[in-house]
Amino acid sequence: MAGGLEAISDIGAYSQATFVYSGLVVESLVKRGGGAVVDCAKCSGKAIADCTKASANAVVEAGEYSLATLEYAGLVSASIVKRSGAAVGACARMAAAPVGKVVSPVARGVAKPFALLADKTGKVFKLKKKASEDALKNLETKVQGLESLADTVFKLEERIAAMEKYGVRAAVTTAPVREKKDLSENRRAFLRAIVEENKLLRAAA
Amino acid sequence: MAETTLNLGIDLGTSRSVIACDNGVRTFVSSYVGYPKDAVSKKLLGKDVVFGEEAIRNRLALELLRPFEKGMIKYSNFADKEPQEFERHMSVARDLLRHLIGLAKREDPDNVKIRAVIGAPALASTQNKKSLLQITSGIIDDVMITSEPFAVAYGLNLLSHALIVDIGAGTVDLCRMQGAIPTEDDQITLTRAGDYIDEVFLSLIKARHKDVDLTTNMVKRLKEENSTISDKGENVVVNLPIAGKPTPIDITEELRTACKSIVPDIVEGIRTLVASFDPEFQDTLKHNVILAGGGSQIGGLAKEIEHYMQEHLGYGKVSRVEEPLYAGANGGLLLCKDMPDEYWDELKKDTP
Repeated sequence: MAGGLEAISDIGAYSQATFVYSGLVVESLVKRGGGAVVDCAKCSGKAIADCTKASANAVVEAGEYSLATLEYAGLVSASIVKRSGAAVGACARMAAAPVGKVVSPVARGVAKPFALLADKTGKVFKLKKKASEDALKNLETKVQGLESLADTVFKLEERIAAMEKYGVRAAVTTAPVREKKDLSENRRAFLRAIVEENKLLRAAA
Repeated sequence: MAETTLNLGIDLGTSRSVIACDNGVRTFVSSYVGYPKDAVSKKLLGKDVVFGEEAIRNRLALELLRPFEKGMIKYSNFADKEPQEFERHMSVARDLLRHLIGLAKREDPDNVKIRAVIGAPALASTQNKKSLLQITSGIIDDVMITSEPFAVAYGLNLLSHALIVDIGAGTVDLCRMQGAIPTEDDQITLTRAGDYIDEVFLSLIKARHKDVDLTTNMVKRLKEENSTISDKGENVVVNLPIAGKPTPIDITEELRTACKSIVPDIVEGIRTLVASFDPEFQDTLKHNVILAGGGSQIGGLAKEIEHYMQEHLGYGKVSRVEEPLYAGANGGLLLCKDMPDEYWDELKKDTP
């Protein structure tokens, strides 16, 4: 019984919705367990011990059930984020690939954080099957991390949309090399004539 | 950061103004500029000035102006007699040019240097060309004016033994290319062009259907959507309002007759230029007549001109450029890009 109560008090650390549901389940089990104890009080001592043990086990199971519920909720969230992260990474790799052919150093630099993000996303939220007390305590921290990751993914998707719309332009970091215009003498003569015409035009009253 | 240069080729046409840039932008806008009539229309439109198709759509709420006529700024030949009208249309032309450059610049930074070559009608006067230079002041950093059909020839690399016929809305410009810069003798400008076709078309429809309600804009749109000279196509039947009721009317014959109306003048211009050419090279010239400009998009026009030439002149081979609307602007852009920097600097030094 004491062990079961300890489990219930641990449940108090979990998310509110799961806690309420878990609480209801636990309450139901405890009632049934407690009822069983009362009924067993009328029975022999061995029967009482058996009933107490059964009720305590029921409460402990309730606690484990609640833990499992939370673990499942966490796994679902992690799955969603992982799949989103992988999709973003894949899209970014696809968007960056044709660009990479033209300005590959830039494309590699652009794609790298996306690729890393896609790889790491899956690993960040791997939860062990057996949720230990530490894993449960960390769950809250990880939920916060998920929210900030969702923000980052949203911003990255906006950037990708802009890149797809406007294309990728490498920043001009060096002076542009002036192409020497290789013109035939005939063409130069035409251009010279146009310049002279325009000079006369400007000089005309 | 090194200054970047944006090269432009510009064709300021009576009906459409076209621009081609070396940043890949290529576009046109109808040469209409509208100013809201009052505070209500200004609030409705949300702008101080409206351009192109938007101006045409909202023309009832706007003072609609067309700054170019017969390929030049309106009233530029009457600047002394109508100075106010001339200044007004200069200002409108500047607004249109600024809008066109804005469309071309898009994402380019504001400190980019703009260079442009602008096409003018073949026989535009000095005053006409100076007016064009004036409207570019403060908008374009370096500018040159050149003959429009010559720009077409340069863009197509047809610098000798070719006869360019640039059919616009205001003018038809013919230019004979003989391997040197064309002089006045090598060029002819005709004033019966696309707008003349619209006038003929409207008068023919009204002659046959007296009660029809038609405007020049409606007729222009009908022409652009259905224009053809060929008699092999389907009949053109459109719904036109007669006393407020849309009525199906067959306008095929009127349309064909109107489109054919510019052919005799064009062939006469070709005859003049070929006849005054070196006789040893006349054959080459008459078999290399190239049509360009928006008007050359009339279905069957090249064949009709060829047929008319063969009937009246005994010879003729006519073809049309691939992109008639952009041929002039493309040629201007190529001229701009090919012009060496030292030539631009030389021009700047000589500019007062």
